[in-house]
Amino acid sequence: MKSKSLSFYLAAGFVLVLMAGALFADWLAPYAPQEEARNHSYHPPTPVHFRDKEGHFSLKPFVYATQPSYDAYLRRLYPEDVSTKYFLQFGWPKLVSVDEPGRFYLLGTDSRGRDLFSRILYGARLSLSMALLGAGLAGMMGLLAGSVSGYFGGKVDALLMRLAEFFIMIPGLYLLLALRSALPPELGSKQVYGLIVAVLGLIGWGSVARVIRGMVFTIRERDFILAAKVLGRSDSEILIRHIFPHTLSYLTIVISISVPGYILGEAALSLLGLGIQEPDVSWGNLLTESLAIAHLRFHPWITAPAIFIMATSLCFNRLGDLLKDRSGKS
Amino acid sequence: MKKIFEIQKLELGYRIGKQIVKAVGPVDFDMAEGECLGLIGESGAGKSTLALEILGLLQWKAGLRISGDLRLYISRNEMAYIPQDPHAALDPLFSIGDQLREMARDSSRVEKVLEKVRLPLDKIGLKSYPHELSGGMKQRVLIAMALLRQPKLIVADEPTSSLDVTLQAEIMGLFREIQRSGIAFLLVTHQVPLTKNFCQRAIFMRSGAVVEQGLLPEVFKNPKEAYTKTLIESVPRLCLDP
Amino acid sequence: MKEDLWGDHDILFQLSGVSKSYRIRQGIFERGKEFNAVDHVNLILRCGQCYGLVGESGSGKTTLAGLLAGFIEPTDGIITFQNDLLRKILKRDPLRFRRKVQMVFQNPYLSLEPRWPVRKILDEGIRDLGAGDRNMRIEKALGLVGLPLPYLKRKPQELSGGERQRVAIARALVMEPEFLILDEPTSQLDVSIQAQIVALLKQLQASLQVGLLFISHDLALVSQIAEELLVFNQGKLVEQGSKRSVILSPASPYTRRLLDSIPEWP
Repeated sequence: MKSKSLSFYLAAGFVLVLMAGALFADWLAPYAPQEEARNHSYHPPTPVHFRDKEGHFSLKPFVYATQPSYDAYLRRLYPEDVSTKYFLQFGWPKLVSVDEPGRFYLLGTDSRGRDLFSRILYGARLSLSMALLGAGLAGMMGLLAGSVSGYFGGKVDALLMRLAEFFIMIPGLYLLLALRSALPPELGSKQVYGLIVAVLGLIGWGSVARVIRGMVFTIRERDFILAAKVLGRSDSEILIRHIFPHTLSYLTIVISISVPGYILGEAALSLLGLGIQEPDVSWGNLLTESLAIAHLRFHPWITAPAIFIMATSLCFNRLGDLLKDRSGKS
Repeated sequence: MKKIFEIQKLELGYRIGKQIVKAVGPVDFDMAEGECLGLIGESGAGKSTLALEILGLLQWKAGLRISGDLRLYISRNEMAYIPQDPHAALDPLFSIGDQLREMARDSSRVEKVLEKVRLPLDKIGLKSYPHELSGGMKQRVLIAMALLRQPKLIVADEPTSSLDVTLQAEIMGLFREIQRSGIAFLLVTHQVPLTKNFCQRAIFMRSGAVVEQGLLPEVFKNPKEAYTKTLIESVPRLCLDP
Repeated sequence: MKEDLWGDHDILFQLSGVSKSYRIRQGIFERGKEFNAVDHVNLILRCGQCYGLVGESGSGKTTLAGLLAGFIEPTDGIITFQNDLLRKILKRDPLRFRRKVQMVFQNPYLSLEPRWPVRKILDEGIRDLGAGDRNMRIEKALGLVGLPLPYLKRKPQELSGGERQRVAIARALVMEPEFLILDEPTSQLDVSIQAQIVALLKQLQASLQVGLLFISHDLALVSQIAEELLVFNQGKLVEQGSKRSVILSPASPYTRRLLDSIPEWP
């Protein structure tokens, strides 16, 4: 039991830190997402030192400036210039900053010399919010449909469930692609955002509706529901005051577990160039550069957004699992 | 008179999370061979816990003995158990014939025992499955399974509470017949009237402690403790006045 | 408690040839057998009377309770309430019926919303009334069932079985009904608590002049409170009459069997 709580706090902690990171990206990110440094194209993560060449220890961490150069095979190298130390500064207006020409690339840079870590933080804003909104939308729609279906039964139930099955049947990615291609390519990023959230919601509500319907079937036979009927309460009152609260625990779990799917959905779209476009940043379009094998071989830090996607998905899954275990007991 | 078991200062409990919650004790009483003893109490009194410990089954229900002594003068093989819910006690995947043969040391006795419990073999064959039987028939199968072990002690835990009232009388009649053949009976129940004309002695329990014990029907006529008195008076009697 | 313009023994419910049948599905392709939970029942219930309904499991007594309370619709036959078709009353003016007929359910652990405080539970039926009226009714009902005011803040999870059942009775009383249907109200409770609840019901019946239908499988228990007995077997009403006549000279062999199975007591 103890380790379960530990997992929960770790997972919840990571998600909260990530959300805080996205929210406070202006402070946490060392560089602006579009800030380019063409002379630092594909710069590896900057090593941070506490001890200099002579072996002097310093409490304050520092970095060296780097000189772009090439090796025999025309691959880029960034050897450090140990003549000057540039100390890292903490506080305001940026959490970590360093004087020029010192640079603090936590996760390296991309082809245009843009700091990957900063872009990941800013990208979290779009990726996380879209996933949460999409999951939330699917959850709400599924809750409504499933509750009405399970409570009233009969023809209403049959109709709603066939509709839900239809949407479950459609492969989500292709629906997204189809809708995207049906609309003009120069769609503003706000509209693309809205479109993705709406479609994610449309794909997801079906499975939520089915499970909620099953839950409502069992709940509606319970004596406290019959008592409410005998007391003269209308169906809508019973749905809102009794049935919804009982389905809430399931809903939080299902939203938790489905978030990774939506993150991946957005990532897939943006990766293919059909989702969030430049100059906006999302985890999906950050990965477009990593599609080429050469980049993976020589600049592996380019795949860092994938690690973030994995870690976030894992944490949401874990949270959902743990919530499910806990709700089973109470 | 030979004894079946002796209980001295027995304390039983359940493990909940990290703590051990005491359910019974300390309790002292004995049981003699051939005797019919009633263990009476309301829900949570600890009577089922005690019965399970006598049978050696308490550990399977996440219970344990905290302290005290249970001295057995017969082996556990000579004990049989009739559980409360007949619907849950039979394995739905096997025929009742299979399950009965599993209990018997030699399968020739199976049909004789089924006759004794008055299970209509012409309607319900050995090849039938539990779901084809009614609650009362299932209970008879369970009684047959108990008898097949040729026990010296039968422990019956609320044997009629999931059955209809009309069946209750028949099952109790069956128990009386069995008891007459010399088998000792420990009847665990919350329904006080069942012990009348059946048990020779009764032990009343409440919240894990023995409140009163005595011979029947004396205890019913003159209960010493207030709780026993309340219990006896709460039994609904057929009332003709408006 | 109510203005009774027509005298004490007027007809409240009348059931004529009422049946409720269900179809049990046997498999995916079979249509399944039909069985009658309630089978062509003819019954009259009058105001202010105390009825006891006895039946074993599967006898249809809970289905009958549902038919009378209006949440189960009959598949055959007619149910009238105060000489109007119940079906019509429920469609046109359901609250009028609900204010007069209330129900207490069997399982006190399932008939109350576990996370609602008692005040909210008692308030549920009278939400359309003014605040002052509601408070008065709630406190009065709580007093009638013998629970102190601080219980209003507690939740069912914190209460014992007997206390929960009292809350369930109070919830019904808050509506100021003329008739109470109680479906095995004590079968989930300990024997000593059972006696208390029965005593409470008798007291309520006497002081409030409310009619009762007490449903149980325990004939002895029912006889403690009922004036008229109804005996059900497999959906059919096999016997009906005053308590003395049914117990002393039962007409139906099934009633005789029920009487015989009562264990000797004291």
